[in-house]
Amino acid sequence: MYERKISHLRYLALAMPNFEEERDFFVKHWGLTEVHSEDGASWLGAEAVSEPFVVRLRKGEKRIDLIGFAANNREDLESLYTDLVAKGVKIIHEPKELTQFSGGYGFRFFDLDGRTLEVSVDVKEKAARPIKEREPIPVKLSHVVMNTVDLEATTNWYIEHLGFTISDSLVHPHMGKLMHFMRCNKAHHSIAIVQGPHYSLHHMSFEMRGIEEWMRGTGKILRAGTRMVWGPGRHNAGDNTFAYFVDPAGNTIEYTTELETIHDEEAWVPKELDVTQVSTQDQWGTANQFSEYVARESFNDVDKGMFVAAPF
Amino acid sequence: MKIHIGADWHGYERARSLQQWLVSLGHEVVWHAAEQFDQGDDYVLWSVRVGEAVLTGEDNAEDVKGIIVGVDGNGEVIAANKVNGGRAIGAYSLPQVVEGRRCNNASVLVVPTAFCTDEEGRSLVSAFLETSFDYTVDNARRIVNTNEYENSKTIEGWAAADFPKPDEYHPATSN
Repeated sequence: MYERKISHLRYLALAMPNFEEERDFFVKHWGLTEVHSEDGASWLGAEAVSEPFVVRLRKGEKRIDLIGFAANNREDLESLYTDLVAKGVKIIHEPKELTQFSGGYGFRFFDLDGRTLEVSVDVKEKAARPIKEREPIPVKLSHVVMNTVDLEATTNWYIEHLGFTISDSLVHPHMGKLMHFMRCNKAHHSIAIVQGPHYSLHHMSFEMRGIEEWMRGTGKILRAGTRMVWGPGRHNAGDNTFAYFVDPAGNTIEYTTELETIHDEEAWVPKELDVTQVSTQDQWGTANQFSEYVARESFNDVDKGMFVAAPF
Repeated sequence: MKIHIGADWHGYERARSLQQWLVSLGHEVVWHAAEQFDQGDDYVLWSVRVGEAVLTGEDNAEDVKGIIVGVDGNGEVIAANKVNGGRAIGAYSLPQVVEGRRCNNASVLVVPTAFCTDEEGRSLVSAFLETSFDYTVDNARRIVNTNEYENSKTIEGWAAADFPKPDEYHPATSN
């Protein structure tokens, strides 16, 4: 197996015109904590993890600013950088001391499609505390899912360049492969890639402590007037519960629990789940009327940030 | 456990008795009804106050429940369920209360003095407090779908009238 230099998903940075509304939503209702703010930007942490922040919001044209990953250590980061340069990846900046909140050492580059990625180490971690029983706030950022126009090309890029592995896939008998769930550690997936009509954020998902907290969080977010688009239910791929909502910027966001852990990666055989055979719960993007609605929501707006580095 | 309790004049004495009993069991009991017996007071305000207190407690991660005492209990159930997110049930038999907790995650129990003795009332309350929700996704889905309808008049994003026909939409129905 390829020796992974990426250890985990760190954060998702997003830009949107209604920045203030989005920030207030995540802090007041979704359950993240603002750990740092600057003019027109906010860094949001999850209480239960020492990761300095899990979401960064910025006022601007709607786009994914970047997806942040952690490397195992500085040596792996340097090695990954050298490797990516040799493979012709478009570098935004070489490894250096990072100047944004929480600092660290890292580099930025574009993936195959032009999403900005960051790999970092030695960021200044924050205090973490266990989520209490019944507390309806996220434990952590679970996974980020992106739409692409060429599923296999994008997927292979993440496998060959960053060491991701396909855990499971969704397929359709006529439409072919629809979605790959990909891991960089023992969590069933930290990212997933979906065949879509354009490049965009499909959804981001936050893990809740358990079903009780997931239900309370879902009730709370509904009472805040948030539009629910799908769920609740349990996915076949990853075995996690789900409830999907639309945030003020029009991004789909998920509360999940109990994402499967792959304890023995050597013994894991990726499944190809036929969305016409499994329950409706997994029918992203298939042809029937119901899932067309869900799919349309998760297509999201066209990402304006492809091959454009985020301003910070 | 934190228990919010309320009653109109019909249920006042029984509610005071339940309050003492629950305190003796070690619960934190918050009284929401009239401080003194108030002949002819209505159940609506007390029912809504108990329902709101329970929801606020749920949002604040408390281990919390509500108990309302009335005559037949019907009006109290209706009123308490007007609170957004309210999950009140009447207490009419032990198995029914147990199912209300197990399947519906009932958060407020309405004890009808007309249909149970003091002792029966206490055993219904015990069953309510001691039975856990079953934490299955199927039951969670029904509760959340109801909560969604309450807030947006949709179920999984669909207006009830426009909901796809069964051949277009097959929700998982494993039980």
